[in-house]
Amino acid sequence: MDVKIEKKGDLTILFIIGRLDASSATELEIKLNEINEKDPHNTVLSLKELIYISSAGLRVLLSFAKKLHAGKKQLYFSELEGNVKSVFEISGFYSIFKVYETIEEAIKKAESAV
Amino acid sequence: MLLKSWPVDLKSLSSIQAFVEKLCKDAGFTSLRVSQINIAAEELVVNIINHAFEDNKGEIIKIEVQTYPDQIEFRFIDSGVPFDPIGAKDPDTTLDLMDRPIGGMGIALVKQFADHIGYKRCDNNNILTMIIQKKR
Repeated sequence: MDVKIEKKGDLTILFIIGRLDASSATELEIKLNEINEKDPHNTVLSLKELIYISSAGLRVLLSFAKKLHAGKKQLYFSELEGNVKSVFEISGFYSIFKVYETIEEAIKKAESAV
Repeated sequence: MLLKSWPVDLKSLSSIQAFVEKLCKDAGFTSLRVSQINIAAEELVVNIINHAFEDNKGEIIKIEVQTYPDQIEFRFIDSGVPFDPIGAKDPDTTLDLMDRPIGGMGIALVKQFADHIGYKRCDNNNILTMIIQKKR
């Protein structure tokens, strides 16, 4: 699992790459907590290169979203593929999160909310 | 029938996943299904790591696999405290972000990705059977 972080104006854009399972979830949690503590912004997540996610990964994303939300910031998901998409559907994540087909769309929505 | 065992430790997870992945690929499952089976297996294994033993040291988890022409059957066996994860209530997926509990999603994924899942307590072991059919 790898995380790429970009800044675009007032937004944070995160790319989560590879496998997000119980072994790698803690590593992501540490990175996301750091972002949330130091410099929380409305955040766009691209999951285009995420090939695997289990409930351990879902938990980390849910907890990050809650912390952002508590600081009046929002999380925007984009580019879900294959199994990641079905895991999101089964977990009901589509009804609690803003999920967009393309990263451009997600960025546009996030920018208009700033 | 194939039987393998691992230490009850998160460090065993990648080896278990490689084992499950190879068996399912060889059995002819599509890569999408292989990934779903792997997620289900991870959820059951992590459940054992987190809940079966007070102290995981020295404990083992056994996985028994039987492949059939039309399905694959896994049995996850541990000698920990009696615990039936299937009986756990499914999470309420209609709750708002701030009301959604952080846990409970793993078993929901297992139930969705497996065609059959069963629990029994036998000779002081927890035995979870998971069957996945090739056609669904």
